[in-house]
Amino acid sequence: MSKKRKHGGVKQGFDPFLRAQRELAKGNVKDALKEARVCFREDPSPERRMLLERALGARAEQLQKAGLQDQAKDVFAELTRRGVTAPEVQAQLPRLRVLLGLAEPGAAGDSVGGGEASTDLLIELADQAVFHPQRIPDKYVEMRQDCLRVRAALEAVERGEDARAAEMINEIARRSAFADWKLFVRGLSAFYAGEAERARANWDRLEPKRPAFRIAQTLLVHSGQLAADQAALDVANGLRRLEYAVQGDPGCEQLQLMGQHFQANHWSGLFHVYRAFRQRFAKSHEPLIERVTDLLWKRLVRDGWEHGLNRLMSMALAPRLDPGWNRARALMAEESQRDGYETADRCWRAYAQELLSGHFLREDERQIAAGLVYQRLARQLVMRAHNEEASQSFSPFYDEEDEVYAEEFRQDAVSCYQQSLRCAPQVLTAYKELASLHLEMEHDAKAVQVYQSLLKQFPDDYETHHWLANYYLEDDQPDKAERYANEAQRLRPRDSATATLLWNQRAAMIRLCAKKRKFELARHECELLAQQRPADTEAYWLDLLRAAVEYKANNVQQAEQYVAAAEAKLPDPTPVWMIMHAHAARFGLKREIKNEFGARFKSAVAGKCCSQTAGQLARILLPFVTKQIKYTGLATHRRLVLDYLQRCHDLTWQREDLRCAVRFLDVSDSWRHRALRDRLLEEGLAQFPEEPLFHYMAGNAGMEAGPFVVDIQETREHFQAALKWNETADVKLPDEYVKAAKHSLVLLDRTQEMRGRMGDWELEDDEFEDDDEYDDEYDGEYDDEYDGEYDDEDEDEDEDEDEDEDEDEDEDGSEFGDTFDAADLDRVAPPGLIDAFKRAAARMGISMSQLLHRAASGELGPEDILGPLPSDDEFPGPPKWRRKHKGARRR
Amino acid sequence: MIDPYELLSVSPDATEEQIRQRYLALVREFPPEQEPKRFAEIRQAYDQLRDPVVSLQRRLFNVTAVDTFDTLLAAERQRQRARRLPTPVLLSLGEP
Repeated sequence: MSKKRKHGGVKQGFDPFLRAQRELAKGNVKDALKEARVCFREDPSPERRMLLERALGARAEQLQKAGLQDQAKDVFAELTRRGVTAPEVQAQLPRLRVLLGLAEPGAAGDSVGGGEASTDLLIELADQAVFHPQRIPDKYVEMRQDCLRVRAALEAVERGEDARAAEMINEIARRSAFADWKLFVRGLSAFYAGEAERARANWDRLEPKRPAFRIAQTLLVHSGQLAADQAALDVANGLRRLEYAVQGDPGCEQLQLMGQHFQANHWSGLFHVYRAFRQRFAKSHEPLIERVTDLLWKRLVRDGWEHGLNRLMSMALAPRLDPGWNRARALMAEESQRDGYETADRCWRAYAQELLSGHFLREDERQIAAGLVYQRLARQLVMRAHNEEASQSFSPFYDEEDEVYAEEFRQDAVSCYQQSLRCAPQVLTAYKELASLHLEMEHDAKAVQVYQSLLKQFPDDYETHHWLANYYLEDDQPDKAERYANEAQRLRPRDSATATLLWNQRAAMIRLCAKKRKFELARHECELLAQQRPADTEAYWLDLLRAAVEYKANNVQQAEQYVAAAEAKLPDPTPVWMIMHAHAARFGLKREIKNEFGARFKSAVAGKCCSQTAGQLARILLPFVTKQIKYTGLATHRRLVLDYLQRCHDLTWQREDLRCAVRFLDVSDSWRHRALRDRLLEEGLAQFPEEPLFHYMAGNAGMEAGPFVVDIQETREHFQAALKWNETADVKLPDEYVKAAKHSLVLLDRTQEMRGRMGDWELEDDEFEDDDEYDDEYDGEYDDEYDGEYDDEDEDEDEDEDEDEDEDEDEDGSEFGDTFDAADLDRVAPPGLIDAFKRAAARMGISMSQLLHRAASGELGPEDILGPLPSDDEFPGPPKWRRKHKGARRR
Repeated sequence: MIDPYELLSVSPDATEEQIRQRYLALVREFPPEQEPKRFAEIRQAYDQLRDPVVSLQRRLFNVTAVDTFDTLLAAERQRQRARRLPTPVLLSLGEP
């Protein structure tokens, strides 16, 4: 292609005159001026002169608008020096003089340039001045002052100093070119203060063509006070700028970045951004930083990542509620399960002190908070005590010190609960937990004190009244139980448990009144009792109570009538005789009466068995046995009833009778009675497979075998069935049974886990299956015992002596070690474990049997045999792929 | 048992006044004579939250974070929108 064609038509474009014109038309003023100069120098014709003047004028204006006043003045000077011939440029000169500050101030001194400047020009200058105050020429003093006032007022409004802003603009005259801005500032203050009406009142008076109006419209649309389509002009660009200012806020950007790291679990990046964020925005975004810190430490605690928490603590300010980070550390120690409880203990105590001495909570909250912390600490200590005891059951390495530790933990827990209640006596749960702990430690009297303290703070706590009433009843102090029983009735008059409680209390009062020979009162109580007999009591029991009262009052005839009435209510009067025999002892009736009923009972109980009688007998004795309420003859009654149950072969059981029978047998510690219980349970499960109690007790029976022998699968199935059937049962399991069943399921899981690590230790257990021995022992024994026994009111002779026979069989320890040797180890333990044992034995220079013996006695611990456990330093990194050590013993 | 904060739809960080206002709003929505069961639940939840022991229990021991980064970001943006604009940003809105 030739150059000519390539540059086709270029010859015309080389003409600087044409190019200058074209560039000027396009607005490229700088290039236009350059070309205009060139073409004027080449040919200073009038036409080219006028072009040059137009270019110079445009350039001066352009420079002025760009804020380059000095350069604009130079260009203007060049223009005027050359002289102006172009009419349009001449018309432009006054305006340029004003804009460049070359015009003289007006004679009145209140406007710029006098007649030279038009109103529009002043307004334009004023608006420019607000945006760029530095552009105002120095000689325009008044304009400069007003401009500075407007700027200062705007900045004062930005700082929230609305009153000051109003003062600043007050002096701006109504006729001033800045009057529009005065209205704008007033409206802006109102807008930020939420006074929409006042804002609109000012802004509706703004000049629509001026920038203040545009700003106002943009703000109104952005705040939703004006619809975008109703705005007087297009504010889209302004809205974009506003959103960009929000989105582009560096605080939001960093927050977004932290969120991304948080989501990705990228903690190193997160900490990096967080550190920078905190340093940069420490003063301006303090509440936000606190919320971010809160978010982070809680996540770290939930993940159990201690190292991460330490890093956060090194770079973050402590939360307001946790100035020493003690709370976070304590929660981490609890969650991580690695450090054990000691760190948590130390940190909680420190935190409690901070709460009491600090001022980051209201005064009324400080004590409560400290109380709650001590309560939490106490719970941890109780858990530790339980864990120590539980570990004894499962550990093949018995450590006698574990028992001491458990007791120490409990003592500490008591102190902590007491401290909690001193700080915060309004924490109800602390009282109840402390009382439970005392009961666990068998300090019943202390538990009573705690409950009584509870009632001072919470006089309407039903459970406490109920408990105290039962406590005093079991202690045979029905008079003390009375007020608590009455309170329980007041609080829950329709509760069945309340009805039973009241019955028991009234029955005990009847006995007390009779013993004190207050027979009328006793009879009155009987009448009251008759009116409120609970559903779970038998009608004949009241007849027999009345009979006992009348016997005591020597109204034998009346008494016998009551006995006859009771007898008539039962097909088999055996329970009547037992109850009357017991009443005779408890009411202190005459010996002949007591012996009479004793003989009747002895004769009747040896007779043919039936479901109803067995159930009644068990049901009557059960509360005495469970609550350990003694009376003369109880042991004999118990023995006779056990014998009766033993003879219950091939019986058609009624469900409720069998329930009572197995519950009665379950209380006994004797393995013989347990064998009988198990037999009856089998019958119960066969006849009533949907009865939750039988499954529950079968599960418990399985647990009795111990962690090394228990059939985990079968036992688990029983507990699961118990919970399942309980949901639809008419007679539901007590709450404590449900809780115990769930706890047992957890225990079974742990047992399975422990076995998986230690291997199954099969024991030869043939010592507990012989039921024949039970029968042989009892034949003929009862006759010898009963003769003359009823004459003896000394309670000591009626203790359960038969239980002593059982204890011996548990003492030889034959099931736990003496018959277990190295040959058995090869049979039941995993090979890896066997090797470890062999290596340890070789290292110590002893035989395998000696090693096992020392391990069983506690002389050697796990680390002596297996070596030290790996430390957590070997497992760094974020929590998602970090192994947790479970099963390590906590100290 | 339903969480009382969930039932009243208030944040665990809500002040007493905020909880009270929310409770009153719910009572107006579920008056006792028209929705006795629902009202009882609302009342129970409110009583729990008013209890300083329950409130402190949550504030001290709860490790479930109230916020997420999304909610913090949304709140911060809202704050930015509601704040008083810097003067340069304000004046830039006057340019067409």
